[in-house]
This record gives sequence, structure tokens and C-alpha cells, in this order.
Amino acid sequence: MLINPVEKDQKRISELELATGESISDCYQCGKCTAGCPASMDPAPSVLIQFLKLGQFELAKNAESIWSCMACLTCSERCPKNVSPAAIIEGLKNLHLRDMDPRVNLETMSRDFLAHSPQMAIISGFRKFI
Amino acid sequence: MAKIGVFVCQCGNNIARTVDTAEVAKYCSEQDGVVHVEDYKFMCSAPGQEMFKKAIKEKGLDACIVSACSPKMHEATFRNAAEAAGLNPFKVEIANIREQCSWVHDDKEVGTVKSKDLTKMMIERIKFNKPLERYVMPLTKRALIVGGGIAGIQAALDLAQAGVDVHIVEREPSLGGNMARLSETFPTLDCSQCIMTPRMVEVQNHPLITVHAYAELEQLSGFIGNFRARIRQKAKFVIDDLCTGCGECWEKCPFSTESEFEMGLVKRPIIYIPFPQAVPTVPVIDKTECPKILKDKCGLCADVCGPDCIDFTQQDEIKEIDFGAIIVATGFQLMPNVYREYGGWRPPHMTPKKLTAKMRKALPRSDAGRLVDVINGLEFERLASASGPTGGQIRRPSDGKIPEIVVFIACVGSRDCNKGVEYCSKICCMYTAKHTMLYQHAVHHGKSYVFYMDIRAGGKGYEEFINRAQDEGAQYVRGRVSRLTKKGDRILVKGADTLTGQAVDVEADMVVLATAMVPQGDSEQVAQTLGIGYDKHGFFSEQHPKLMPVESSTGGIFLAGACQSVKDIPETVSQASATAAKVLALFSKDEMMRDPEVAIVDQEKCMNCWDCVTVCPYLAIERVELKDRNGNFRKWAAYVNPGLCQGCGICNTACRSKSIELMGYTNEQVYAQITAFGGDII
Repeated sequence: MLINPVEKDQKRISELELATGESISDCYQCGKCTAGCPASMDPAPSVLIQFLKLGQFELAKNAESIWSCMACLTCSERCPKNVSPAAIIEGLKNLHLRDMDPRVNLETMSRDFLAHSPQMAIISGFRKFI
Repeated sequence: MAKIGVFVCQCGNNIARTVDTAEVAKYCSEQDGVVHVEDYKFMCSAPGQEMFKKAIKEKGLDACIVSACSPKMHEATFRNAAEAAGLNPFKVEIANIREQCSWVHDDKEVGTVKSKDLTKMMIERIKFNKPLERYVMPLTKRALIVGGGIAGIQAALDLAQAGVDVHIVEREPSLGGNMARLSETFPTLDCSQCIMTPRMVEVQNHPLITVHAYAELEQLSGFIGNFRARIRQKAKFVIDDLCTGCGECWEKCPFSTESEFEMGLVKRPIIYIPFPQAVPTVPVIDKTECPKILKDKCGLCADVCGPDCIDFTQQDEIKEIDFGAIIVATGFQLMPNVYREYGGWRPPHMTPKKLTAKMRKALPRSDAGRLVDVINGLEFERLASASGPTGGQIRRPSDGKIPEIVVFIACVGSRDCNKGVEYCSKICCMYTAKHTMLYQHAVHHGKSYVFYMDIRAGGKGYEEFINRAQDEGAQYVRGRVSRLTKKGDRILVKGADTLTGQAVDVEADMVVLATAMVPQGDSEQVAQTLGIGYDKHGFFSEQHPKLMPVESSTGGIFLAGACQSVKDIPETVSQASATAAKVLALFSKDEMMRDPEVAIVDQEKCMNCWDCVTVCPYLAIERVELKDRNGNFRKWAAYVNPGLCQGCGICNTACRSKSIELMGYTNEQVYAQITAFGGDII
């Protein structure tokens, strides 16, 4: 994976930082968020943030594990550097959904998609204001 | 008949737990020659020592045994107490019944028996102890500092301010060392030259400091308080006293070679000062390059010199000066042989002087399949320095372009027991963070990546500094780089990010290696000249890692700065001041007392095998001629210099003719001790 800065990805990451109010560069990768994650996310929260630190926005956004985050905020509570991984993951979900469709319209969605989407994702879909 | 006193210490419960001290005392009182015994809780306490002194005075004891802890702990305490009570201090011996008995046994019965034996051995031994007198030695109150970097400068100023005559020997034409090369210093980012040059000027102007620039220490003889140094003043071909430092000569010199100070990034004239603030501002002619000296052509510098101070016939000059103490501050270099897998660059620290014409052809600075944009930390310092070859603009060496992506690689050569050195080079984490900041400050749109294994930022304000570097845009990637290859006009860096578990690539315009700090290339030779210990890497060894960190293994020689281990500037400066304090303590007396427990040669018995000379680790034994009363040569014999002898006893065991005795540890004493334990052994 080439980690040279790509303008498009840098822009999306700034957008994410703006939306969530978090500073990704603050993370020093101690792994405390991953260690306490009750959802056993894989890729883990710290890895998702490392992807963002390396400028790999798409890798983070397309990671399946963001949908298993239950927003319990354990990671945010424990972070020694005042970064909120839960907020960043929430932001990633929102950006992901926005990329798919600017508005979530349950009626236009296939029953099959709704049946297979995590409830959390559907709820998130209603919350986006970006 | 001996009158021996035995004092058994309980050491609180430390000894009494596994040794019945009352029983030991009773047993000792029955021994031949013992006239007084005591059994007390803490012999080393003030009342314990009073009891000891009182017994010596009242009972008229002529020898004392203290059965207590290791002699390393309290031998000096009791010997001083005995001296105060009027007994020769060398008639006091310690039987170690704590470290060698009570602490290593659980069974009280066994411990008691062993304590009895240990004490009895000492009782028999002390009957052969002779009263010894300490040697009084003269003391030369002049200090020599080897190396004129920041460590040497700091030590020299501290000593001179206390009124000590100081000489600095520096092999380069100017003081300054590696610190003068630095652009800015962590963690405050103050300009290195701005904080250093005032000190250099202070050294130059101080009436008590003599600077021997462009000189080397060739030989050292003597011992603590009485060293004699042979200093070779290399020919500068410029007369110091006449030169005004006007600069006519180095501006007119038509020839040039790569500048050592600028890490070979630019050329310098053949008659040169290393950098504009050089101290002393007297140029030297590089005799390996000067056509006038090599082929008798040119001589332009002599023509333009106003005060006529250029003398092409000058020769090296040898100075012999006496010193009382020596501070070694020879500093460091960056590891010269960096790896092939990182790309085939020229050996970074190899100065042009040491390159033959053939090697120079093979190692061009220009592009020839080599990665010339891979530089080391010191080269980056010069690029970032306002006084450097690019005037502070960071431009890459190959084409002078401003690099937009720079990769910094930490731990190059360090923490690598396979191809490098196994130790952590300690300062690289910090200087790499500083480099990223210098780069980000100079190139706002640039991006810097740092490949690291761990960030070691233990120091005041250091962790905060690393955080600041990351906030200012440095991207840290945790993993080592496997190789560098050329890709277009860029360098493809193949690394890893172990945090995501992926291999990562960066296409960089320039790569900066945080190369390991290693001792100067000739540090082992310097150690041998000085007669001090060094480790397998070539760092000089301290006497004790915790309690004697600035003393070398030889008395009167102290260590300051990066020649002892990897160090940053604050640590170097503190250590340099510490050596100055040690030298001042040594110079606080008018003459020195030396322990009399040294080897003595029976010169009539000596049969000149010189094994002792070979084995002596302190170079204390010399060959002397014995003469008869008419002054004619009679025979050769070994002589142990009591000033140098540390009483280790190696010569004693090596001596074939048994003509060496170690005072305080004579054969009689040791045999008596062994016989008391194991019966007749002879």
C-alpha cells in the first residue's frame, strides 16, 4: 500500500475531522481502545485510526467492522489522548452512507438490504446532517 | 605476643538471624593472641565506633578484626577509627560474615561455624600484618582536556573559572566538535551555534585556558597527579602569532576539496578554517591536497598574505607538558558503514582525506545508480543550518530540488545485533522529531514520514516534543524499512506498518537516516594511549556504572560526553561539569595520599622475564637498570610505580621467581589465613 499523500483522501479525512471534532494525529496507537472493545471489532478501532493516519480513507470507510460498533463509547472513555474512536467510527459510518446515497429513504430500500443491514447502520442513516 | 581485639557485629538482625554472634565472640576469645572481644548490635554506628576506639586505647590493642559486613562497606570506617585511636589503619581487617555468610545461609548452626572459621582465618592472618604508611605524592595542578567539543569546552570553562590551568587538545583546526554542526537543538529548538560560539570565544579569551588546535595527544606517561603528555602539534603551515584571520588566503585559494565540516556536501579551499566562527580563527593548510607542498606549484596564499605568516617549511612540533588530571572528551561519530540493503550510498562519514583516488572515483557524489538523496542526520543538520551550504534552505543533494516528501528512518544501525550495534542510540528519536520539525518549518507544503520501532523520549520536555512534531505534520509509521530503491527521480521506500499489519511504500524525494552514534574510529587506540578501559563498541568504560560514572578505570583520568556512551547535549554538559568537580576535588590538596597496598618487587630476585610488565593492566610496571656503587650497570629489574599501582595482584601471581609481594596481601598473610582454615597446606 502506497502511503504518499493523495489529495482526495486528505480532503475526506479533513471532512471527517471537521464532522467529528476529533484530531486523528493525536492518536499515538497505544491500543487501549482495541483492548477494551466489547464488540471485538476487526479491523480494530486503533487499526481504523491508523489507516486514517496513513491517509487510507477508503480502507477505513469500507471496513466491515465499523458496522459492528455499538457506540458504547468504552473506547472514547478510556482513550489517554482524548481522542474519541467511537465518534470517528460514527463519522465513518455517516460518510459511508452518504457516499452510497445522499438520503436514506426506507421505502426505496430493498427489503433484502434492510434485512441484512445492522440495525445500528439504519439508525445512523437517519441521523446524518453532513 | 600479639594483642588482638575481635569485634563481632550483629548488624541488627542481618547477621544475628543466622549467626550466633555471642558464640562467635566466645570462640574468638579462646584464640591465641586475642585479648579483647565485643559482640554488638551495630559496630558501624557512632557508639559502636566509640567502643572500638576505646578498646584500642584502653587495652593497648595492636591489631583488630571486625567481623561484620563486606570490607567494601566499612573497611574505611574502621581503619579511620583505628587511626584516630592511634593504631596503624592497616592493622585492621574485616571478616565478612554478612555477604559471605549470614545472607547466604539459612541454618544458624552452619552460619555460626562458618563465621567462626572466617574470623579465625583473619586472626591468624593479622598476626603477619605489617603497619603500612600511605605514600605522599606530589601533584601538578594542571588539567588536560582531550577533545574540544561541547564536553571539553564545558569542562575547561568550569575548571578555569575555579582557577585551574587548563590545556585543550583538539585534532581539528577549530574547537566545536559535532555540536557546532547542528542546526537547532531539541527540545527547545534553539540554534546550536548561537549557544555554542559564545562559549568557544570565552575559551579563547580565558587567560587560564590554552588551546592546542590541530594537535593530537601522542603519548601519556605517569600517573594520577603526575601525568606527562606528549602532544603533537600538527603543522598548520601558518604562523599562529602573526595570523590575523583576515581570510585573504582562503578566499584566494584556487584549489578545493570536500569539506569535512559540511559532511562533504560542499567544497572548501585547501587552506581553510572549518566554519566562519572557528576558534582559533587561524587557517591550516591541508598538506595532503596542497599543490605547493606536494609539487611546489601555486603558493598563492603566501603571496596574498599581508602579515607574511605562511610558512611552507613548517614541521610538526612535539610539546611535553605535565598534568595532574586528564578529562577525555573525544565525542562520537555517526556509524560509518551503513547497510547495503538501504541502497548503495557512499560511506557517509568517510571524509575525502581518507579516500584514495580510486575510491573517490567509485563513490561519486553524483547519480550513478547510487541513492545520493539518502543522507544521514548530520548531513541533514548542515542542510537545515542557516550557516550551511544551502543557507538553511532544505534542498536535496542530487539536483538541488526542494524535497516535498521526506522519509526519516530511525534506528539505522542501532538495536541491530546482526549488522549494527545492539544498543539503542538514544538521541535519534529526538533528533528525528526535530528534523521533521525543521523540515516542516522550512517546507510548509511538504510531508514527512518517520519509520520507527519505538519512540524513546525520556527526558524533560521530550515526550511533549514528540507530540509537537506529530501535530506539526510528521507522520509516524511503526516499522522498519527493508530497502530503498530508485524510482524515477524519487526513492521508493519499502517499509511496514506493524500497527495495521501491512507493508507500506512511500515514494520519497529524500531519505534521512537516523544513523547510530558510535565512538570515534580511533577510540580504542586513544584508550590504549591513555591506559583506560573500553567496551566492545569502543566506548570508554566508567569505574562504576552508578556511583563512579565519570571516573575511568585509571586514577586521575575522567570521562565526559559521548566518548563514554551515547548522550545528548544536556547530559554531556552535566557530565563535563561533573568531571570538572572531580578534578577540582583532586586539586584541592597540595599533595596526594596513595594507598600503600601496592606491589613491591624484590629487585635482587627479579629474573627479568617481564611477565609482570605484560600482565599489568595499569601500565604500572617498568624496567629499570640497577647500578653498582660506581654507577656501572649491574642488572635489569622490574619496578612497580606506587602511584600507578592499583593493588590488583595480577603481577604477584604472574611472577615466576616469586619476587613480587603485594603489601597487605603478602604470601605469609595469605598462607596463614588458609592454614587457619584448612590445616597445613605447604
